[in-house]
Amino acid sequence: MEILEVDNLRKEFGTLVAVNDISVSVEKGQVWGLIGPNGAGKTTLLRMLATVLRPTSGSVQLLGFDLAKEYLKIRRHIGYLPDFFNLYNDLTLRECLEFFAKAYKVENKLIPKRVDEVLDYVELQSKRDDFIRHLSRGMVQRMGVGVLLVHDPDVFLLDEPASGLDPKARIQLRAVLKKLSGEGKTIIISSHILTELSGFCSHIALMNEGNIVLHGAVDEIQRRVFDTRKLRISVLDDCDKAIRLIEEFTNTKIENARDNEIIVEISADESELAALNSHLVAKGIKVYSFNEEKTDLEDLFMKISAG
Amino acid sequence: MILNNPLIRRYRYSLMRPRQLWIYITIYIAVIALIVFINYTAYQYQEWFGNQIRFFKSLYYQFLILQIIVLCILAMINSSSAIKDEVTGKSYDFFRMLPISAGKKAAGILIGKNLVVLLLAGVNFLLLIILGMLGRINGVLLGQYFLALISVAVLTNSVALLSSINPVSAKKKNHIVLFIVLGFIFVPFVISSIGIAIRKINIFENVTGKFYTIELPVLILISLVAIYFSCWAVKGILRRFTREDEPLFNRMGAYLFMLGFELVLFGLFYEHLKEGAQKTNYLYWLISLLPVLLVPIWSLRSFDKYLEHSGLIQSKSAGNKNLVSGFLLYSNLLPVLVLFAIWTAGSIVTALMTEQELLYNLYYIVILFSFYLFLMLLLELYVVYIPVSNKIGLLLSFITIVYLFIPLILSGVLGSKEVYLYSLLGFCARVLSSKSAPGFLTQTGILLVNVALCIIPTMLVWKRYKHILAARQKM
Repeated sequence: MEILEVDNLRKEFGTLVAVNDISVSVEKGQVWGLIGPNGAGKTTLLRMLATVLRPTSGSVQLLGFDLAKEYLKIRRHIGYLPDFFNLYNDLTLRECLEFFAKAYKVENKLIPKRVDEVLDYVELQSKRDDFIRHLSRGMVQRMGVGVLLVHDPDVFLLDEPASGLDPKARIQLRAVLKKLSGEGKTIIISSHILTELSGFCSHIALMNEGNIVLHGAVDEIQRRVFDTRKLRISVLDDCDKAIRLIEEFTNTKIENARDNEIIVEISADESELAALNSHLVAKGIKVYSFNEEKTDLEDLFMKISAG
Repeated sequence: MILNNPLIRRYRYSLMRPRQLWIYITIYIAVIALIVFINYTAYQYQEWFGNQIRFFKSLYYQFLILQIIVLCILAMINSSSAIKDEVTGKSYDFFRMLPISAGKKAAGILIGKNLVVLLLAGVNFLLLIILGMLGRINGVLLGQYFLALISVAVLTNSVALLSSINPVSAKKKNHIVLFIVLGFIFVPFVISSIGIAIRKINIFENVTGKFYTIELPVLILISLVAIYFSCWAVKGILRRFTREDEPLFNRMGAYLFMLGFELVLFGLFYEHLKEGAQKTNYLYWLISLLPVLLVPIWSLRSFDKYLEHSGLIQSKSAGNKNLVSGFLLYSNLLPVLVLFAIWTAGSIVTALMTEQELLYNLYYIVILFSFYLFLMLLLELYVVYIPVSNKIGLLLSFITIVYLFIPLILSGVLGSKEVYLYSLLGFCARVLSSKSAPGFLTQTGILLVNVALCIIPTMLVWKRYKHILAARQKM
């Protein structure tokens, strides 16, 4: 089910075209990583989707609502976390969540329960009566996600949520985001730190100079960008024979072989990989590990950037 | 219903904590006690007031001044800081994203941010009623005071909030302009109120004013004018909350505001204009010239808007001619001309009403237009050259100051009785003064100088217009 439909979306700032006629559609439950260098237009795109920046032209349909006309309705269905934000320092965590719950029209009688659930979710229950000004940056960032959760939005728009966090806070935030993606929420998350997105993005859109250069499912893009796969084969002994046998196989290239571990570049589909494995075993090679090395987003990004 | 507003809840949490509320209440009680103590001492030992009624009446007016300070000045400071706090606190995006209407946001800030002030004002109102009754102030007059106070408070607070909603510049915004504008509204009001209290003169009790032919108590007249402009201010707030990147006035709004201003001012001047005094005519002209100067600033379309719109007209227009005319119609110069035309129409009516020599007055209007056009061209230069240099505003401000003040200085230095007329300020002062009108040759000289001054800005603006259209084609 399509949840977001972007059609020829454009934003100009003077003579600068920050977002250049972008079209993309997102389905329910997908987690999109918006990647690209600084100044690529990620933040501008997210701000337009979040209804805080008016597009120069183009249209956006979110859950069937028109972004230009029904922005108040759209706001109830999205949770937007800006890149640089703070929350109300003069409120406690409980008060802050109650305020947002009320603003997002959560029923009065449900508010206390919802606040508790959110505080548990972002693991800040112990701080519920502390002022926000007393929280660490990592906690504020998790609380930011909590503020979005309070009205249970259909789409999360997260702009560089982990920037400026220390490794521990980053891991904690990542755990929260993984939990969200595991629950089937639709998320669009931007980052130029690719390790942040690796592992839980189902789709990516690579942006550069206001354009989406490439977009689609991560697996599909990996296949499209990398025409070869990388195998890591570990054998108990007779490594030289194994190398010979691999080289006999079509479309293979030994990249490295050391300590009975062979790294092979191969252009093949899954059945051919299985055939290679069987071939080695049939010829008496004691294969104890046969793995395809997954290319992460960083490899992908570098590969695409290199053209 | 109002208290159900989430923003009021948010401010209630942060402002009404007992540990800070008691500080405000203590200060308020101390102020009240001090006023009562001073007055009681004066009454008891100095016999300033003569009798008890005059004592309570004086107290009433002092509490009225306190109420003005609380509702208009303190509340105005609160209202004007709400958005700035959101921006500097980096929570403004969350505020903008709130799925509540612009009206609820405005009400939430105006009431929520002033919860403490309203609490104190509520207590003050009760005291005012009691003191008014003890001072034998007519109930109708009491009502008029309250109506005037509330309507002026709504006006000042909504103007304060309106002027603060500018997220682009809110970070380093100071409210000098706002305070100057509001200062003009308040200072006389506060000073005269103090005067009333001190001299115990009941100046508003029997004073009436006329709006067209309707005679109304002056306090009611003040209230109605304040309510009228409050409606515009609230409309402006709603527009700012929903269309942040648009100018405060759209075209139609600018023209309607100007027309409304003319009609209100004409209503206030009507009886005086009928008396036929030349001075009243020119006073009306100059007051009604203020929105002609200010509204173009509030409805200014930016360079980005020009680029955006030229893209739209390019996609629609058939040829280059249509493109240029379409662009000129969209430019800031069109409302400048329309606003001046509205002003001219009003000015001709008043000239006829006061039986002035029409031809002579038309020549005055042409000269005023030449001053106005030069200033508006400077404004347009600012719009089109800001992407080239962000210091252009400084240069143009300097030119404006030179243009307005150098003729006055030169007039003094040269001992000339005519040079100062080459400044808009000097010309307006002469028009209002009881001196004879400037000679035809002098007036023609002023006109020619202004026309000559307009040539270079016009060429520069035109050059930038062509640049915008060319840049658009490359995008």
